[in-house]
Amino acid sequence: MDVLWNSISLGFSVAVSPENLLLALLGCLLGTLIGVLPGIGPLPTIAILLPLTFNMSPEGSLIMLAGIFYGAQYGGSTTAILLRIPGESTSVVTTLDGHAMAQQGRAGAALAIAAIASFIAGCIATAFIAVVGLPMSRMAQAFGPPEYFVLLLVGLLLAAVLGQGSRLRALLMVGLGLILATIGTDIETGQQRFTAGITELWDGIGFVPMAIGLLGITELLRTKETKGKSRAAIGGLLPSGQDLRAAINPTIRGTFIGGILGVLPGSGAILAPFASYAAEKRISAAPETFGKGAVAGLAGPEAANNAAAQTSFIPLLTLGIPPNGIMALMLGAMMIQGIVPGPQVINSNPELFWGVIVSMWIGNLMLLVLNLPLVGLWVQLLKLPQRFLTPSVVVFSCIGVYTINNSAWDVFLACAFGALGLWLVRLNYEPAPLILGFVLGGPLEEKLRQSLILSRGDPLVFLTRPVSGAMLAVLVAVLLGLFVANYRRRRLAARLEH
Amino acid sequence: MQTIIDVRSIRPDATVSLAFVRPTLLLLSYVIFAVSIDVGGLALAIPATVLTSYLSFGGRSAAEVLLLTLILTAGCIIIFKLALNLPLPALPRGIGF
Repeated sequence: MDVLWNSISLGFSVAVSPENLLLALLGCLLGTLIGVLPGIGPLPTIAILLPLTFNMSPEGSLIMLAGIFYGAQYGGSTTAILLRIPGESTSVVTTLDGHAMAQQGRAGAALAIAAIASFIAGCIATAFIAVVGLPMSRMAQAFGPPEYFVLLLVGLLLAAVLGQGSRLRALLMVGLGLILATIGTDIETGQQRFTAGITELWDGIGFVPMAIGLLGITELLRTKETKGKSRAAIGGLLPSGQDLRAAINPTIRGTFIGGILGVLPGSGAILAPFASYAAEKRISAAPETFGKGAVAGLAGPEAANNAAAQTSFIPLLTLGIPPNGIMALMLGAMMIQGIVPGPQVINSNPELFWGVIVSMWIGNLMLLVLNLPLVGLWVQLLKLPQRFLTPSVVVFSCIGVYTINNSAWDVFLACAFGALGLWLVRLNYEPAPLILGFVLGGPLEEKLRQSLILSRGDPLVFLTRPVSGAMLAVLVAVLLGLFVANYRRRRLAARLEH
Repeated sequence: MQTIIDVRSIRPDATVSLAFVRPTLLLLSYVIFAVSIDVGGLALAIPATVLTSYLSFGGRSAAEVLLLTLILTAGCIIIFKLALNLPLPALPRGIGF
């Protein structure tokens, strides 16, 4: 327990430094802004802002990027309640009862309940990360290269197959990411791989141009002109005592559901609010009120989406495995700062680990204090036409990419990945699993080589070691389960059609 | 006799052209930045990029684009060149800033 308290006090000393407080504030504000604006999600925004983190400390950069991520969860709910526009995919459920409350003239109460539920969930989830982080990373530190290779493989495959959309397409994207990660000079043999004689590719494909191209530019290319809706009346911001009482239990249940689903690879964080809404409706004494302004239908999902956003940091910070695309970008940011991700981070960079965790508490508090008074401003921003917003984003992303090496090649590369991303999206291939595969490609290859050197080239080492063997068995069981469920669903559908 | 029309065979040309022109102009704005930054610095690259991306979203007002260009060029030079001290070329090559 003493270790935990000492670690948390270390985290406070890092998080409350003026620079990190300012970065947390900046991250929260940016996150809320992009959460409010539909179309620009946290994934492209973090990708575009990655180059700005080069001159920051490792703690500062992760604190700001984390602020963008959980700030977006808050921001998404504002427009979902007031305008029935879910700024984020996790805010879709909020539109049901949140907007219904707004239509009944209780928009202020709905916003306050959403903010309070998110704040409580964020605090509980952060405490959960602090408690779970230390034992999890200690356990993972006992892993050798074979265990770590299998862990990376399991994380990568589960993130792909449990994500949204077609599993086969996600796996293909992961495969493409792994192939792209092999481009460049082989560190062990010095051989050029897939460089096609282009000297700029000798160091491999840069993570930032690729992330900005595939996520940021692709998102811009897909953007359509949106017209802002008229602003709803906000009314008083204080919820009644009855509203608060009705929100307490759903908030706690939502936190629990979101906390568990957030750790899972794939789209656990997206599923969390839907699962919470379904659970609240099922256990409610008055399920007919759901969709008509039920407080439980707002508080539960809001708590769930914020808890899931926080706990998705657990696999990243304790094992070095990103469970989704956003965490893959965080992993990229850590690598850019020279930090080798993995379970050793908690010991080698304790100020980073605990600083980020404590900053989440502070960031959640900032969001609660800032967001409610700024609701009017966020809604006004929705009216900003795309023809002003897009040129600004284009210029910032160009400068961001160019500043990495002061090279126009990187801008061309980002542009090419943007075109590739648009093509893939039009063919219904999501680029996020590609980024996951690309980021984990390097460590995966390194651990595979180390394992094979240790076992003198025997691939059975992954099966004979108990931990890696057990993890492979779990992977096979999950994949088989998914296959069987899919087969049964198709058979049932065919029978019904017949 | 009932005629069945396959809706997939109908080509909505207007939609196709819109879906093609906007991404092309946006990608072109990145290419323009990449081509012009080393030669003309931010002072040339940003206005050219802004103009192309502004046009991609149907902007037609000269005053609007001029104001946007001025704000973004001045803002980026102040933030990235002067405040963050990044080694970006701000002015065309011969001038050397």
